[in-house]
Amino acid sequence: MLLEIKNLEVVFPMRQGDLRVLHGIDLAVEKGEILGLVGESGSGKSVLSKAVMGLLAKPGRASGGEILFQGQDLLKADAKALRSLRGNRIAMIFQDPMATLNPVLRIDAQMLEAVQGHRKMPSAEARRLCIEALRKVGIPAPEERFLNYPHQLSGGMRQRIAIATALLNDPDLILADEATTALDVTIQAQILSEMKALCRESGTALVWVTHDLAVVSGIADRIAVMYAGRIVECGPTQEVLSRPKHPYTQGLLDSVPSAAQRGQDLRQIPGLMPSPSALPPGCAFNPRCLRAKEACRSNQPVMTQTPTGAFACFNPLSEGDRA
Amino acid sequence: MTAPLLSVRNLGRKFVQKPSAVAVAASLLTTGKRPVQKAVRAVNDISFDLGPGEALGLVGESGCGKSTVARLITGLITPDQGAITYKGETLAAMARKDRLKIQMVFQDPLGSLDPRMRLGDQIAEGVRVHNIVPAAELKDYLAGIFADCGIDPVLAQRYPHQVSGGQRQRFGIARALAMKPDLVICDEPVAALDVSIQAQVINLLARLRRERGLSYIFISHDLNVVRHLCDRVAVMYLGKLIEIGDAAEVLSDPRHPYTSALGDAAPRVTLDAQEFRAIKGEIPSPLNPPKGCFFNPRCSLATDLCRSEAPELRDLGARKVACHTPL
Repeated sequence: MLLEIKNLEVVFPMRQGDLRVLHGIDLAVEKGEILGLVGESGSGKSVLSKAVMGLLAKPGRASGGEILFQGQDLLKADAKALRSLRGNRIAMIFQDPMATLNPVLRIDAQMLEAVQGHRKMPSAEARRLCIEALRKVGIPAPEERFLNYPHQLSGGMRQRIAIATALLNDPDLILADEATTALDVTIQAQILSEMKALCRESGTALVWVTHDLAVVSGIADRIAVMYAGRIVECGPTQEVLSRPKHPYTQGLLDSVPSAAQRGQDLRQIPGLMPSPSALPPGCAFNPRCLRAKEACRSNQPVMTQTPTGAFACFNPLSEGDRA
Repeated sequence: MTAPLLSVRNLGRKFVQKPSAVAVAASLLTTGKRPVQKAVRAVNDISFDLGPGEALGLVGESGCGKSTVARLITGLITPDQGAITYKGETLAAMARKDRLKIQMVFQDPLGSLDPRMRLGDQIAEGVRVHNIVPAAELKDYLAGIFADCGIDPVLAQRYPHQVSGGQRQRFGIARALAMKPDLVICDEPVAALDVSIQAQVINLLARLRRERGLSYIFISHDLNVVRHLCDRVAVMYLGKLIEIGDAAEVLSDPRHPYTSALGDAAPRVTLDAQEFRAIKGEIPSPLNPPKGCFFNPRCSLATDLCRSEAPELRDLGARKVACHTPL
């Protein structure tokens, strides 16, 4: 197993006490696997990816559990060890490439630093490597773009540069946090197909964090759905999309307009995601759930294993419910 | 179609990029002439009609001019070409009171609501200033609007930052509705919202249209949403209209290669291993559009004619398409 997260808890200390934003996260990513991590804003998906990178905003901290990367617990690793992993074995792509790239440095300086910061390499060779990476992500005239400043490039180009930089050191794992959300659909389609091909080719594992089920349906092998700081369902993409067990997953699927429902009302999930400081007792989804029972309002459902995946629900959808 | 509610003819708007002082000085010193001003044709010769109670979707990538069209129709900016007529009257000549019949809902309600004013007061202000209802009825009128938009009246006492994104967008819609409009222009109203909240707002917009007979111009990059809500759809590319027709037909059987490519690029929840068929390249800079059809550098069907001559919007069955080699 490449990455194994066990019972991870993340808290943000507040004046009133610790605010828990991740509750007992268990998640595993195999070598070369593409995992779609799906959730709405506030579900904790970004906090989870930042925790793996050791980039939790202070004073947030992991208060329990383990994050094992190739057997090494990242939560116990010191700054130096993390530094040698980040950008090298684990890379991250953020939503806004303008925030990733330094606006006052040219692309060449930023990319060369990413290579030479991790291994000794003559500049000419590093330069060739960078230009090769730019070509791989479909940047036309990479030698010229290499000498540009970020503001001289379009949003799609900037995101490609961020991706090329992430690929530079042949990482074992890439975390992409809403990496195409800010882009046009046409550019998004280009980037998704390139990422998929690149990961397959190099055997890199990819965690694609997004709110958009449609995006992961095309790219991911497995899907994990998060709600209010917990993983509520995970399993192979086909399984989760065609036979969701958790009512929240089903609700997300129903919320996307499709050609068949034209002119009819969409089946909406009522209400809002609760804030981490005001979680309802029992299952966090119960106030919005049409299937909530007595047990859902008082007890926290634990993950139930199925042959292919797992879900956390007392009243899961069965075949009959979907018919 | 009966007499159109809104009719747009040959609409055009240019934005001129002013050269910086340094560029002017450099040019004067080297050539002795002022630099050439670059102009962007953000909206280029667009014509369409909108019937009463009709919903028209306006789709395209960012930078294609769809928001500029919205701003022209609401009168936030003036066209430098063509005319917009509303119920037979040109927009420029219309009285202010009649212009209230065209309202707009913006993408980012946090940007369009006043952060320092209570939400309820913001909605009430417009109603009061424009005398939409007598002062004595104001309270009941607002309560009715809030109920229609599914807003808990308690929230009216709050400030914009104190409510969720979905609730804020409901206030954005309520503010437009309070003016008793006939036509509401929605500029990416659900793009910033979470999926589950998106469905709530889409259902709200659909219901309001049914109950109040509103017309919509619905700007979005999300083809699924447009197909769901709209009767007709207009596709824009680099300031030009390239295909317009019945929404279900255009999106399921596109005739313009760009419309088709846009449909292929849109992610769908599918169970088959989906190959993202991407259009090559990016939208060209509007400062320097390609010769001939603007889409030709990215089009797999482009011929020499496409590279030299820009296609006109022509009738093709029930719809209009601007392409030399329609699918």
